[in-house]
Amino acid sequence: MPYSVVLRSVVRALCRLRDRKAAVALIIALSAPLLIAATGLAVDVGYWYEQQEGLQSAVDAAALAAATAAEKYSVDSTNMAEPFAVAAANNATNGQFAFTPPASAGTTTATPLTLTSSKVTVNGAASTQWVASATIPRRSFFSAVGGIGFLGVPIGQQSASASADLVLPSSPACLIATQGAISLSGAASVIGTNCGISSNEETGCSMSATGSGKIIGTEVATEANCVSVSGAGYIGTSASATPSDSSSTVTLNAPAATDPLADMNPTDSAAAGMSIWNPGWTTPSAPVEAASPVTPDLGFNTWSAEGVGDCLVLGDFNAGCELDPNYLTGMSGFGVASLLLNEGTTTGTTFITGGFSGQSNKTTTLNGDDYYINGGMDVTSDTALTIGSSAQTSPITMVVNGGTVMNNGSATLDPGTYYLNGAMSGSSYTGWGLSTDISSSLALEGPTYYVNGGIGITNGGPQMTLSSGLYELTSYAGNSNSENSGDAGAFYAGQGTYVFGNPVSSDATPAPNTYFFDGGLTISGGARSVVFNPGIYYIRNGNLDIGSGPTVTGNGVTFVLEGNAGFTIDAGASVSLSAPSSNCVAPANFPNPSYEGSAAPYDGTDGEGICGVLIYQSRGDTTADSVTEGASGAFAGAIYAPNAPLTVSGGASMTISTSGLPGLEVASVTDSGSGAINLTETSSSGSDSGSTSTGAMLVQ
Amino acid sequence: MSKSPFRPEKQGVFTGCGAVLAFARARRAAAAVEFAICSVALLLFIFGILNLGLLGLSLSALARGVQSAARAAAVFTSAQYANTGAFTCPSPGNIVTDFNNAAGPALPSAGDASGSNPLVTVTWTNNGTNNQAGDPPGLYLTLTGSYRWSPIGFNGLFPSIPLTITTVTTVMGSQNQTTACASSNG
Repeated sequence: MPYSVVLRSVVRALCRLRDRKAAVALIIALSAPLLIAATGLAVDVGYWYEQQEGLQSAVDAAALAAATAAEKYSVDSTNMAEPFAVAAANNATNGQFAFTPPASAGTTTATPLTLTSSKVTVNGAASTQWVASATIPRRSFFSAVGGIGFLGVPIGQQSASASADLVLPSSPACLIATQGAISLSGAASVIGTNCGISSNEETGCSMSATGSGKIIGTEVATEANCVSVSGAGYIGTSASATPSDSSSTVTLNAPAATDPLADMNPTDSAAAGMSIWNPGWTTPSAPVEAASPVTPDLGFNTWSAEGVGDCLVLGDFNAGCELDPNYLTGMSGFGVASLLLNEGTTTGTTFITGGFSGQSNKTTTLNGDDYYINGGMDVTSDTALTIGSSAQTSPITMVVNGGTVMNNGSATLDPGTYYLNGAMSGSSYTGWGLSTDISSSLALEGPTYYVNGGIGITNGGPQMTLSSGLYELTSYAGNSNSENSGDAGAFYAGQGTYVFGNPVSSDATPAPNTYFFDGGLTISGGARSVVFNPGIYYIRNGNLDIGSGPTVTGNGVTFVLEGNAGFTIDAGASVSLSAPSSNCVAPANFPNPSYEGSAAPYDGTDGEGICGVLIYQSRGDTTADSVTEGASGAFAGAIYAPNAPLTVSGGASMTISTSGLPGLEVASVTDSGSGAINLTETSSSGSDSGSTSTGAMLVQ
Repeated sequence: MSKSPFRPEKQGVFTGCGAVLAFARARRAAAAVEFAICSVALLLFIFGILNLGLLGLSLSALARGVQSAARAAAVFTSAQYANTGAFTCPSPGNIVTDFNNAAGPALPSAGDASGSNPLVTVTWTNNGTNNQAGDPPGLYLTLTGSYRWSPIGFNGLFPSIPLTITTVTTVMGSQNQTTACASSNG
């Protein structure tokens, strides 16, 4: 090459000034290949790098341009996108490579730019990927064979490719039918505001609207290849659409909508190998029964002599009894004006055998620390029952075997640990663990209740409060209480008003409200109002049933349904529930595996619910859910029941608003009559998405 | 006595001639001295050319490595978003690996720890939606490759020459991310 020849000449000329011999020339000659190699390699490699970067810039621009053009001009074929890609590639490199579409690459100086597209999933949404690639010969000035060729580098090729994905505007699905169809008939409607409607059913036409049924969302997508519309039905994205353009805006053959709660651990005890239910029922062992327990004799004032207290008989039902017993029996069937056990003491253990029942005292007060009552407790005071006292400093422990009936005017159970067992081994009495049908008020002050046989309130319209704490209520399979048979469950609210847990102010740590209903939670039509305060409510082996009539409100609550538990909301019920948004655990961390095997409530959160999730029906649970006949429900939070079909009928309405989670994720939806499901995504940025606008991004 | 026909008539002329002859006789030794002087300049010249080429090669490789690694990092982060819905950045170590692969054998193996040569400095910045003056919005990577290049053949004679290439690459679509990405400490 001239360059090296000139170089050599110059070097020779320099030395020729002083010396004509060949020594220097020889050295120059010997070192010339090295010099040329070093210099040439620098030039060539630098050139290759420059070419490679230019090529990469060109294909990057081409891929981005194709993806952008595809969105902007609804271009969906590579032929139509190619001009945009080629122009962008040439602009990015000042026409250095003279790119042309492959089809028109006729001249040797032109570089064909290849463009392909494929369907991909971007952040859970169907999208298109555009791949631009180009190949050029690797030009060499010094080092290649055919050039000066010292280094024998073969003439090769340089190529670059880039892949750009189109990122669609985030349109989070607010209704996902995970396994089945969304079927509407009559005047039923499913409307998503700021969010889409998705069905993951692949076979058949996965969405149907007959009559004047309407399915409307910002995006309506299905994995199937068709939807079915008839009559005045409509499926699509336009709220003001007419049936003539029905279903034209449905995305068919869409990829499956992803489950944002998929990472959440299943709470099925069996599936997860976890035990979030306390099955232990570890009743503390009672003290040994005395060989000859004391029997109070109300006819005579003789007890003081025996050191157990005294009973001043002032006439029938006018006696005032103050007993300080350790072991009692025969505590049935007498009525006095006031019965006070363990007056003035907050310690001591009282063992009562043979039942504590048939009382008709005006007031009954049980002081002291621990009570063990065998044979049931049936307190029917005219006015008031108090267990514990304001002077009580240590929590009470009370064990009642054989059922507890509190038909008092009012009953207050001071803070303590209560084991209320409806059934008693060897006894014919098998009833509710705790029941009332007369009381006007029943206050359970927490903090720990284990009720075997459930709690049943069948009559009397009581006001019942269950203060913050851990409640484990288990239905008793052999419940034969004549009043309540057929109503068996872990909690049966027949009449009255109920408050679960304590309300908390926004700046306070929620009280540890954790409720387990093993056998279902039934709020019958006769109940007037039910308030659920912040907490987590586990239900299994029975539904969350809300009958026709009651007003149910809840704030900061999560219902976890598992193992044959669904939810039903019947005619006329008015339900307003919101999921926790603070002091809650993120879905992905629930239940926290690190708490496995530790103490209840086993999620390590002391009753704090799952953020944003109102109802979590576990994945293994296929129990059908329904909202029927004029029931109205306002739900702020996600209803997650991916394996359970949902039926909405009659004039029922469900209004669900969520932020960042689908409002309704169920196996399938059947909506008839004038059932309305209205879903709103409240978050402006959408679900799990960082992109607020459509754009293209390089991904390879 | 017979005169030598070659004896010069004038002393000065003959002296000059004798000096030329002496010079001719002394030619070998003088050439060696002159060659020694010449060869220094020659070697300087040869190594200068050699090093100029190598300097160009190193600079090209450094630029190639930085730009290729920055692109790979941004593309990786975007692809993570496409696949998982979250922007996940590559670690400084991964970026150094990309740098080394792209720069090829023209440079020694780089590192991101202080004192490495070449040194790759990874700085992730997240501006969120703020479009500050001179700063792009969203998540972006400032990648700097520094290489103290030393000429061969001049050990200790010349100081090493610092070469620095910096590039800024934005991760597209990352305006709303709160991603915290690990920068290098070097």
